[in-house]
Amino acid sequence: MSATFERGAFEAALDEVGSLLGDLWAVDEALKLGNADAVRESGGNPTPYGRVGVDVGRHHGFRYTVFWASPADADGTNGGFPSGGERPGDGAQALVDDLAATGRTWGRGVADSFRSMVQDLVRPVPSSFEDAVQTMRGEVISPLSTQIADNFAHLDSLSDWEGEAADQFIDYFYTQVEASVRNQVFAAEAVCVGLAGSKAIVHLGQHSLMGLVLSAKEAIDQQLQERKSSHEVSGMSTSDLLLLGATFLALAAAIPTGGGSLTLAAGASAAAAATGALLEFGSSQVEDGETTTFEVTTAEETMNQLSDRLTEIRTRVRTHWDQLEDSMGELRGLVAEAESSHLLYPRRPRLMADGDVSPGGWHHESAPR
Amino acid sequence: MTRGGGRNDPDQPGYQAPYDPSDPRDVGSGKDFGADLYALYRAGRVYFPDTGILFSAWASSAHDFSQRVRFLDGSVGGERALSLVDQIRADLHFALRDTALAMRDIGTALVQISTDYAQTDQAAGTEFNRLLEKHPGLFSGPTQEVPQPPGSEAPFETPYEGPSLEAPEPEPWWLTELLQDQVEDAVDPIREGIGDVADGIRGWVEEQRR
Repeated sequence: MSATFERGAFEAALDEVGSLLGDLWAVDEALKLGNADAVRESGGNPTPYGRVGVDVGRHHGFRYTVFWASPADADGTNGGFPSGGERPGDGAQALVDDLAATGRTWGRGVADSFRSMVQDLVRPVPSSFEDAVQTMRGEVISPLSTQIADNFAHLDSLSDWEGEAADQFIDYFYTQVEASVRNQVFAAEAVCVGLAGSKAIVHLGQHSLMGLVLSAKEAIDQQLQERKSSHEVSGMSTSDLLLLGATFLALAAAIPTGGGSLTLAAGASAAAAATGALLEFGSSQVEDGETTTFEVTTAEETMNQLSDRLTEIRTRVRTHWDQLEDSMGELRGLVAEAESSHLLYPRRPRLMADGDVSPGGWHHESAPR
Repeated sequence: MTRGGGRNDPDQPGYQAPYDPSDPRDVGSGKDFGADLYALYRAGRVYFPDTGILFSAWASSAHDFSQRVRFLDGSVGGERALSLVDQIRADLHFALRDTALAMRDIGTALVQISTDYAQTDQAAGTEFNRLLEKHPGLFSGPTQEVPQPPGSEAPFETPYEGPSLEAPEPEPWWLTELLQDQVEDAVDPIREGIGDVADGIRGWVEEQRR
């Protein structure tokens, strides 16, 4: 099952799973009261007991007959019950209602515990990652890529200048500006690809979780419907659960980390492409991925299944973060290397030493030397 | 260098380079020298500051962007991948900041070199001043000041407030269950009543058949 994640819908679905789970537990406990074998197993003796009807279940309620050790029920009189008040069977109903209340508390506890375990998965807002990418693109990458032209200062006769300071200005700075800008664009693209990758991981974690909760809800609901029709604990409900991730691995592998062959300028366009693909991964419904089955009979089994499937999702999400971390580590290495090689910003020429430039360090070709 | 106002201040409109025949330096001569000096002056007076202003703004954006990265990192509970993203952002911020400062300082130096050398040769100075007068629009205002780009500890120009990370407030469970119970309480007698009526009708029909 793949489902669009929306925080409010997730929280509501999780509350409902807790409620259904508590109901399933309470229904199964109530069914034991009407099962002679179960009564015997719990040390009771059903034969002399009376039988009374009770209302069982909140989500798919039904009428059910339980064994009840009440003198009134056993001998057909109103024996042990206060006159004019309680009716035969009220005690049994009260017990079933107590079970329902206990189940409700337990189910709510399970939901709250699950909620606390998935906070870091459900809390991030995927659109805030994409907003950040768009901000970096709009405020830095786009203008940086287009507004700094080669020979931006229209210095067409640079070769007319001679001397060490002039050479430094020309070779270290002026002719390096355009290359530095391209590498700065690469660094900005590396930031974007990291954010886009993070968004994709958040997306797959949240959608897998939503799928898990909806699968659990569907399976428990089916079980409750079966209890209503069969009045016994039997059968198994299954629901397919999509575990996203395979596509992300392929996309993450496209992040350019280059090795020795990567020029940062070429890497910038590859990084931009990877960012686009990763954002797309997060913005569309992705159906690629392995499926697993959520199987449930009893409430306890359901809780264990929830825990196991959550562990699977967490493991996948962790694997993706680790992979993204590796890629970002390599990108950071490339940027740091560019910085130490004076490729990320141009070196400053020593033009202003002592507040002036000496004629020997900077003169025109027309000067006699 | 003399800096007053108007014609004597190279950072103000109307500047004209003076000729100083007593200056002994020979750093170039002739009309071409004057044209090359003019190109240096124009670069330092206009293009370098303009470019520096752009880099300063981009550096400011890269600095402000750290707020977003830290917010996002916090939202996922702290991930090393995002801390590496922030390190790359910091590298970028430093590179843009350094480029902005270099543009500012080199622009100042180019104005200084060109106006200083223009007074050493009369022919060059004449050509330099002629070209300045020919393009008054380029120098119609004072030299643009490059804003100081923020350092890593500087306050943010545009504070960022991320979206709420809290779950929307759900309807309290007790309210839902209370409403459900009230509905059931209201419906049950009706259901029973309908059942009684149906039983009555069924009985009457059977009686009629007999």
